[in-house]
Amino acid sequence: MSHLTEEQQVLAHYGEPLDDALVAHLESCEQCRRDRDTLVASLAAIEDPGPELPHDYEQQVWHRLHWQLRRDARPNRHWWLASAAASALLLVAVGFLAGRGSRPNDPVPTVRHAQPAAERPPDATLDAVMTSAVTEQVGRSERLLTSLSNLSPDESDLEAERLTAERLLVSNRIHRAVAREQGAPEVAALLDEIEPILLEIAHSGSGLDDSELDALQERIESRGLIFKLRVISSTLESKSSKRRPSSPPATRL
Amino acid sequence: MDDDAVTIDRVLGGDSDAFRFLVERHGRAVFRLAYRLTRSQQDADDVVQETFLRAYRHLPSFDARSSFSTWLFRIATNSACDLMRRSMRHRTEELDEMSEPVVSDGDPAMRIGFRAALERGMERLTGSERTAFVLRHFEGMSIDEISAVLGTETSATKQAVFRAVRKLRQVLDPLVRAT
Repeated sequence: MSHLTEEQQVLAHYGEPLDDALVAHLESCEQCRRDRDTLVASLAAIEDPGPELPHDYEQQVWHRLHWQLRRDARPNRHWWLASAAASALLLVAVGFLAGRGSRPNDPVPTVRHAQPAAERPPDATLDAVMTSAVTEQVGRSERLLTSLSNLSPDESDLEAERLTAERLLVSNRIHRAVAREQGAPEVAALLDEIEPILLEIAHSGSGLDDSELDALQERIESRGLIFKLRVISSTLESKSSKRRPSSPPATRL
Repeated sequence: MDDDAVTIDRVLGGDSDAFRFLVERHGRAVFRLAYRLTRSQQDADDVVQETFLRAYRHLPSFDARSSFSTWLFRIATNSACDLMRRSMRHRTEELDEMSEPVVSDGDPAMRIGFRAALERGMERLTGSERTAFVLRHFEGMSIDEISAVLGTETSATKQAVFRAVRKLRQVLDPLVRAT
């Protein structure tokens, strides 16, 4: 009988079953046993415990993660609907206030829509709601673009990203309009800039081929979209937290 | 229902803070895997973060009939492979930060030799070979489990493990024979 191949030796070492005849041969063949012993010695030399981690490593991971997850809604399929509905209501409210402000006979005409952003009351309810909704939009967009940037060509299943883009696209238009209305042109401009990306992903159908994915990743990177989203997100987050000094910390992710 | 399944039900039911238990239960193992794949502590930290973020976002799509840790390892492996593909920086300057592969011989020169040889060997492996080898050799996963993580056929996984071992032996065997 011929000797065991190197592949058979390796797989047997890692617990893959051998034919009875091969097992019998291995026991009786000195050369095969010698080959096995050499293989075992080589593999036994490879031990890599990795760096020593602090005892509270898991807590540190959670601490970093929690901050990011707080900006994320519950992992369900309906967050986008709630977000879009809230934004639509918000847009109606903005339109209503703007309409009131422009009525000639209004006894207390509001000029809110005409005020520069810097002159507005910092704790205005509408601003706070807008900030919260847009922060969420920006955060989700950032995560989607990060995920797209990290995709490798062999990851052909873009269904999750496509659905997310589709939903973000609906709310993106509303949030952009709200941002413009609320005097946040830099936010509106950024949402405007990412819209073609969302559109492309949302309409990607069965996925993107390698060159399309490369081109998309290049666009995201060359325009620094993830960085811009992070900056805006951080600014909005900071603005939002300054507004609620006495409110309890958010516990929802 | 195991602990993971109970926790996942809680998270999907609205108790999002329960996700913490999944992080605490699997964080260290995910780091270990990420480190062995990327050979960099900083990259491994990034992979851990990315893995749990992706897992959280895609938790509704997790099929509870399979093992959560296998699913998580698959995400971690994909994240690490993405990162490795994009990371073109040279690793030699990180050699000093690496933990040393432990060999029975206590000779420091020999240990340094093994360390460098292992690093050279790992650099020769393709992404799937390195992943398959790490999961089999270090993590003790079965060929079937590795196939599930890689999304490959069993025969392809066996081939990947074998090719990885063959390449590693080309650099390690001379040192083993010298000890």
